[in-house]
Amino acid sequence: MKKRIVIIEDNAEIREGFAAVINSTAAYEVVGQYSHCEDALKRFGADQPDAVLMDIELPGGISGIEGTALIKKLAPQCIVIIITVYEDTEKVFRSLCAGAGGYLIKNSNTEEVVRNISDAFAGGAPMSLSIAKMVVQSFQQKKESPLSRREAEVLQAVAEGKSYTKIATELFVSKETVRSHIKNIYEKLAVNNKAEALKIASSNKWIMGVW
Amino acid sequence: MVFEQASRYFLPPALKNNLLHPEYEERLTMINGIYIVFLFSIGITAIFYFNGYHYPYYLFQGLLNLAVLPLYKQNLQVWGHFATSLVMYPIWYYFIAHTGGLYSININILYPFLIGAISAVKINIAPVHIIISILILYLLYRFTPEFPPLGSRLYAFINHCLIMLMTAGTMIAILKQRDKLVAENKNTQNTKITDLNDEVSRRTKELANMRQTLAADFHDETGNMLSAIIRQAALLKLTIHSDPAVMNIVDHIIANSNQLYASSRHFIWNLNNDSDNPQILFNYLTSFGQVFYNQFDVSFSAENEMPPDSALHLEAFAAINLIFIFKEAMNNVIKHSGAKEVVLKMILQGDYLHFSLTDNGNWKEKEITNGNHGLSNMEKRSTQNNFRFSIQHLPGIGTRVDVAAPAIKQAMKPQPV
Repeated sequence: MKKRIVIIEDNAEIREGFAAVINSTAAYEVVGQYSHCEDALKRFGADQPDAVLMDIELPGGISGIEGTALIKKLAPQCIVIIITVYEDTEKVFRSLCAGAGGYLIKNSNTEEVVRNISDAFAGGAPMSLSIAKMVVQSFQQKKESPLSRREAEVLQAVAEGKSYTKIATELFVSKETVRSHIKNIYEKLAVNNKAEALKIASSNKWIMGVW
Repeated sequence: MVFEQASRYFLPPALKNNLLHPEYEERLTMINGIYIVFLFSIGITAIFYFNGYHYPYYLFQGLLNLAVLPLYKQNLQVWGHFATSLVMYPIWYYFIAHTGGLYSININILYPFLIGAISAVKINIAPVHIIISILILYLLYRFTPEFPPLGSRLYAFINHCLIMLMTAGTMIAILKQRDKLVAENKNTQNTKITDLNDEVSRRTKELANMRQTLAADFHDETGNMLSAIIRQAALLKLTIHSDPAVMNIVDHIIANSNQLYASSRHFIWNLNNDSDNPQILFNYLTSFGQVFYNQFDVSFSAENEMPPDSALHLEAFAAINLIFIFKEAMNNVIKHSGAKEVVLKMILQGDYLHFSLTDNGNWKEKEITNGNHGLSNMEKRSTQNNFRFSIQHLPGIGTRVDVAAPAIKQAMKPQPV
């Protein structure tokens, strides 16, 4: 069965472009396209998506970051993939805190789009130097780091600018292991920042209302 | 000129070349004054001498002043004044007492001495000099025998005391006025400096705002527009994948849009306040390399061997050109070398910041030497920007591209003209 995907993006051309690419694959199908979060949330029950491609800057009351928090609250198993022009902004970091499972650059080519989505399903979200630095900072504010020693090593190496292959060689593990460590780091980041992400959402009175 | 150099020699080191120091002019005037007193004292002693009087007292005064000049160099001029006064008051008293006491014409010497003493010390010490002068007048009054043909001693004493107070009072008033003006000047200067600082920080904020707006606009407008073009081109590719000629055009549209997107992004980044900071540039290059090499099975790492607190920066357009050069170099590694390990490095050597990219691949000799297009571009950019470009190719070991950019030390304090 094809994985069900919903796209939330206010630029129709980008939205339809992504939809066409995804629909051309054997593994995925687009079950809903929305220009803002409100509509997407209203139809969430009917769409039953496995993954949501979410723009950060959205018109209307709910931003992509709040939308991510709401969707993760509503359906924790649903993967949210942020679509963004820049990969290393504070907003991307905050949506990762809100529970996003990865991000996708808007002008990626067709193969990259498909690869990124399948990576996200496989639990291999990308992490760049700037994001890693923000993650390090976020964990430093906590009294006790929830990261394991290996996860901390991986995070440190990414923050130093090393590529996955380099990290894998240095730690005598496979590239896949590095990716899974990164996935765990993101999960712990989201757990640690859940309260805050939900606070943002509830302050906009969206947490209880729609469904 | 020689005179000026001689005067400046006795300034304390902190003031020597610091024309803007608030005490510079004051100190120099005092030192000049001592030279003038010295020359004057030689002259006046000579005049007396050639007219048959042996009065070396003026010469004592001049020589004594000259002797305390080294104390000025040590910033101990107060002790100099103290010593001069201690020696000269008794000498002047002796001179006057032995040339007619209170009736002596030489009593006039007390007036310029008092004026000199007041102008040389801080105003709050001036009363001490006035009291000593009046004390000398009193002692002269006390020990000068009455000589009726020249009038009453008491009259002369009171007369001198009054003129002495008036002279000192005038001098103090003038000096107070001067100090007030200096203080006012300083205040105005400070106000102007504060105004200027405020203006500069306002402008800087404005500029930072402008940059942010520009970056946000790019993100929202241009970035999204380019993404839309790329997405539509991809759509076109999906729809008509049968015609290879059209496919080629579509691929070019995508490639060009991607390139435009990337270079606009670098330009926007370059507008950033700190893009001439080598640490920040190195971070950007590292980040770029990491994302780039993560697409391939290549080990990439970065080595920053610059001390983090070195206050060096790059020339205005160096950063953007270094970005373009290293982008090309990173691409070349993938295109031509088949390397498995790539290292980006920054190191300071002399007055140059070296950025290098080392790989362990096998470059085809032909591609390196035969005017490879990318390579000549990199060299051209280097020449245009005063970079030193070098490429070392060691068969079996790898290739190293090294670009050295001039490092500029943090701006010095403005030197006096």
